[in-house]
Amino acid sequence: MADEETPVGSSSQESPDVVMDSGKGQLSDLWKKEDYWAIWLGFLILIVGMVIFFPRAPEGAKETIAKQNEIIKAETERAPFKTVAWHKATDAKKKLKASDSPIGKSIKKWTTKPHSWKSNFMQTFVMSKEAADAKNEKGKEKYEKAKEAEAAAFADAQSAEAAAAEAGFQDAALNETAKDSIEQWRSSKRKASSAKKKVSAKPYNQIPYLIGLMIFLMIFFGIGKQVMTGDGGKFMVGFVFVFAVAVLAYIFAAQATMKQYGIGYAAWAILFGLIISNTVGTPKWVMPAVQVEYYIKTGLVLLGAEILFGKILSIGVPGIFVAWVVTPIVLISTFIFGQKVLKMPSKTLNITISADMSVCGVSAAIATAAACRAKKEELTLAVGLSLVFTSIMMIVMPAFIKAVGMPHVLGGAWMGGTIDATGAVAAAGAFLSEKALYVAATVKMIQNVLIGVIAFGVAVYWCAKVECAPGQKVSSMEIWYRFPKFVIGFIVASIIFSLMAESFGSGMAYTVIDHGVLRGFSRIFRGWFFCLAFASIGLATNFRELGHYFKGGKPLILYICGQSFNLALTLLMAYIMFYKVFPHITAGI
Amino acid sequence: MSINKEQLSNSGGPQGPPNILLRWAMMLFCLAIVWLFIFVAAPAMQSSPMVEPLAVYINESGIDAGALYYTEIEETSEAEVYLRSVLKRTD
Repeated sequence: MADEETPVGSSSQESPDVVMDSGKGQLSDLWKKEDYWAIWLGFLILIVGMVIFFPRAPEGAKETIAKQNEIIKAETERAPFKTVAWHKATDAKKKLKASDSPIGKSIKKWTTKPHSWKSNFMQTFVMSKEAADAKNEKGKEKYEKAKEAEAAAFADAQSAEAAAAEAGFQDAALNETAKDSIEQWRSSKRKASSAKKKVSAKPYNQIPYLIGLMIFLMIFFGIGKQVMTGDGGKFMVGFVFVFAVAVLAYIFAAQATMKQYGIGYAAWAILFGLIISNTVGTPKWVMPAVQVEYYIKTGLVLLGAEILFGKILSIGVPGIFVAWVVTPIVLISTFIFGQKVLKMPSKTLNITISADMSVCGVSAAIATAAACRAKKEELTLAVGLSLVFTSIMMIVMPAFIKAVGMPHVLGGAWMGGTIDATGAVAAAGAFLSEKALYVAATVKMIQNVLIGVIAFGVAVYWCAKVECAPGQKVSSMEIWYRFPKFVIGFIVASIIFSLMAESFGSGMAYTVIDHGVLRGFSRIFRGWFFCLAFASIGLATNFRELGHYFKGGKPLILYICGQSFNLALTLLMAYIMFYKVFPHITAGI
Repeated sequence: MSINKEQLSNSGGPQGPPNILLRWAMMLFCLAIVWLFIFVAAPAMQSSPMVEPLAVYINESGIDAGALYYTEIEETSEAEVYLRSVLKRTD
């Protein structure tokens, strides 16, 4: 029964479960196969992004970066702790974003998701001037208080630093007081900045922009569909419905309570798709636009550009050990455990759950499922498990760390290496302290980058080993024929953007790549593509089939056992690296 | 080992119950459960002492706890800039 389901990563032209010696490529594959269309469309977006954002670094960005780096260097030499000027220079660098240019703001306006809401559903689309003013008025008192607290903390930090400086930074007690005061100021500053967002509401009407985006995406994917199968027209008609489900998913992900639980668009897209398809049924005219692989593969090529290998050095060697040594060990061990001990019948389900549990949740599940051609039900199951445990761990882990008095650098590294989703990691880390947030978010970011290696490795392993008939030897040409080609686009995008980021230097890469092409452009489209893919999964999935894959509770046992091992090994490695091998880095944080 | 591509590509999703009224009733029932979860169960769970402080914090800080990847939240880039400067200090 399971064999009759279509794999996520299979193209519509091929998908036997074993490698056959009859595979061959044709020139027409370049415009007839989804894998290649995913590459062309993905790179089209990336090239447009580069054309828009590379020339739009804020004026004098290079000089500002150089100047702030000089200040950071001078302050580092001057004081044994991070001074007020050091923090201000770091803040000044953070503000340099190409996405803040006028065109960047316009793009954001046209591609933005539905807005946040609590009980008034319509606020997701429309907010009048009166409503915006009322909202701002409501948060005004809190903001004023936060601003005053920040100003007071800043004054304390300045005077404590001045006292330490007067003693030539030789008095340990004064240095410690200054360090604490500066940390207090940073905490107050973060609170004031959050409070400011609550008084910055502006009126909006998102409906025309959403319609515009829908038409753009309809044509964007429709052209490829027309060339591949000649049914671009039918695709475009059905796309309206799939897009509407995706919008619905974003709306519920933006609901205040759901945001607090970290229940994002992936869960809602699958859920609403499932509800529709398993009750009233997905209308037949919609099915030509239910193209799981087409959306996922294009999104993954864009995700490739976000995999910047230079990021792995962000927190030095300890971060590499926590994220790049522990994670593959846990991934491979969990896969072997699933095969040898649990005897999971589906290798693709086994590796997809292992990857989403050990790497970074939904994004890793998507990449791995596509690389090994997992079935859509398997991806749904892996995503569901990840979302449930992410919510639980996001709540339990910071509470546990606080209760046992674990150092925040250790706690941050532990959460960063184990909680699946990046947003949940940031929320749990920030709840503890700024220090925990920075370590947790950075470890998770380094782990995010591992997706590229994992997806490539899984794709090669599946082509060369798993999809072979027993005893069959597969030639390298055959592996090439069978290899999911979009993975090449994914890897090439990663290599190109990593090389560009390195050649630009970290300051300019932050300004025009990270906060230009990626966060200001391709990431927005990638989010929509994944949302469309999850909506399509829901619209094409039979709910009863999910039960079949969950048989015996093996996926749940696999997740729990793997995550327990992950928790133990990550904690041990973080302790050894941050407190035994590199304590000077920990002290500097 | 044949694979039925029709199921995903072109011809209809899973079949619901045969009776059209029953289908719509089931959909409304599912949506009612979703509504109960969002507006009754989830807020009720937030009154638990373990959940409440984090929920309040996420609400006040505006952190997107549902973000899937590092590029979806600003905190990762703040952390990177900060830690790279820290590493320069400890070099």
